[in-house]
Amino acid sequence: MKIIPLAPAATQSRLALPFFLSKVAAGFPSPADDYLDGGLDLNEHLIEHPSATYLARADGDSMIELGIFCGDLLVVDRALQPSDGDVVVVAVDGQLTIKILDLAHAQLLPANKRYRPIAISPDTQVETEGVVVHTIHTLKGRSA
Amino acid sequence: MIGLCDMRSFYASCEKVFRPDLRGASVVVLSNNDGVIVACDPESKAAGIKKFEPYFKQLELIEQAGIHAFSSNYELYGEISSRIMDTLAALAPNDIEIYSIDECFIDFGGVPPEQLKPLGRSFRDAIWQEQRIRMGVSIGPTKTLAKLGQYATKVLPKIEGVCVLEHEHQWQWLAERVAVSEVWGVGRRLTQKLKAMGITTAAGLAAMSEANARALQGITLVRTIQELNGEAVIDMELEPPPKQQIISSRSFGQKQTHLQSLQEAASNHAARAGEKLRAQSSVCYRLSAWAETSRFETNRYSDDLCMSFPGGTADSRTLSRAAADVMARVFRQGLRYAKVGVVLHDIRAASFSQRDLLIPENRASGQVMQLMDGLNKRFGSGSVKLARQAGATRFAMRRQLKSPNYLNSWHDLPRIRVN
Repeated sequence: MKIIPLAPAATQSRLALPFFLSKVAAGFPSPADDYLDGGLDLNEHLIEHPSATYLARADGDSMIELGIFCGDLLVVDRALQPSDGDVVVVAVDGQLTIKILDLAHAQLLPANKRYRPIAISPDTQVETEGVVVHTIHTLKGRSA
Repeated sequence: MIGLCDMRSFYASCEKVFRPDLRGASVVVLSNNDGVIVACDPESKAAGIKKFEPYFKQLELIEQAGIHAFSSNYELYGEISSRIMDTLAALAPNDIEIYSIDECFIDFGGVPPEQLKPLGRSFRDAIWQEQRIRMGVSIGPTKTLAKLGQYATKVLPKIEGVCVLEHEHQWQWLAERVAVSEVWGVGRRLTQKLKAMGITTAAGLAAMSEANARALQGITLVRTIQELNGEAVIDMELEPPPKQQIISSRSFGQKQTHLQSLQEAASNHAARAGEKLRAQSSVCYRLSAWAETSRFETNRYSDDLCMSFPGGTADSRTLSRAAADVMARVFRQGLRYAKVGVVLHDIRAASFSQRDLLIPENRASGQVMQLMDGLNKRFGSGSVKLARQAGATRFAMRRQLKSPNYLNSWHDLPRIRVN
């Protein structure tokens, strides 16, 4: 048993993936790969503002034409100022949903022809709750 | 100049972060085991809810008034708090001092006076945008005056949550309107004594002579009075860089494949680290624990998780429960574990920590730990152990009305209806 007081260490990120220099499908791998000690952090790629970002699950099909499927994992960044055309999490009358922000026409657009746009009018209470920056769609173990 | 950032009705507000439908509604938060109401927002206060009164006694009112009650969700509050503090630390011109789960001091030294208000406002806006928590910012020449300024941010809507006390007439005006009991460092007993002397406002206290203050409460009251008069004598308490963490870990003699053995080991580490923590009269606000396979294993795996203790703790029982919980979450079946460990973070002096009302970190806890440490010292380490250290079953708190761990659990992520 060792109890050692340590200087603060960065333990923000918990995911390190091995990083291979040689291309995966290029036949014989580089012998140097065995000696690589670096890691690529997927969080670094997905999350620009860690303290302002949350993850959520999509539940529904109104955004499938943009590639958001039921059960997908969403990376939502609240630090970004939503701009025209962004996919946003939006609270419409207190309920969270996901739409495309169409500021030019003051409406929220679905990405599925079966759904209709929602007009942003003074009588609907609309508040953006972050910009959806990534959607993570798991392929393995899913039935098509 | 020093600023104080204060999160409004913090626990109740946390419950509204992922529930925009509750933003105009009334929310109360219950203590451990759903005993008493420990936090309420202004809306529920207006409905007649009394803080620190039993929940069951107010159940009727809660139902009648359509108030939403939640069990305390430490994980959520701790995570939101740490995100807020990270955000503020990144924005602040100088150091910040995390004073409690929902307050921090910011050193505004070097900032031109005319920029204080816009800066404070931008911090407030950023915390709302990024965290969905309302924050009041009050800035003054001393910590005590910065604290006093919070009162103005709450009662004067036109200043929009940001108060800068730059000139003497400003803080004098305020001090005449704030009850002496609201002054930083003035407790209930002192309030009574002051009242007996005819002092009921902060201004009354500020006018007290040094000799009287010294006779009444010694140097601490003298300093409070100096601060109320604009003389900064209480420094920023910055986290001391050394001994910020206590780590306890060990490799297993043989590879372990069962969750229970990992939990036993992690509980042991947590208890030992807790001993160390108490020996230096500190408390910690966070614990992380990890489990790893051997680095020579083909299936190399390592994962860790962090748990927060909003009010700080030095109780081995709390620490070891957290460590066991982390193990349950990081454990994967089929792996051969080589090592587990526990790290205590955010360590502060016990005397300094502002006790959180939610945590039953009562005197009993301190006494039990003192007794345990005493026995172990006398009869040898490990004479008295927690049952968990020998692999006991977990006990669960009653938290029937708890909201999901939106930010800390894969199963509890907010679900968004996409329709």
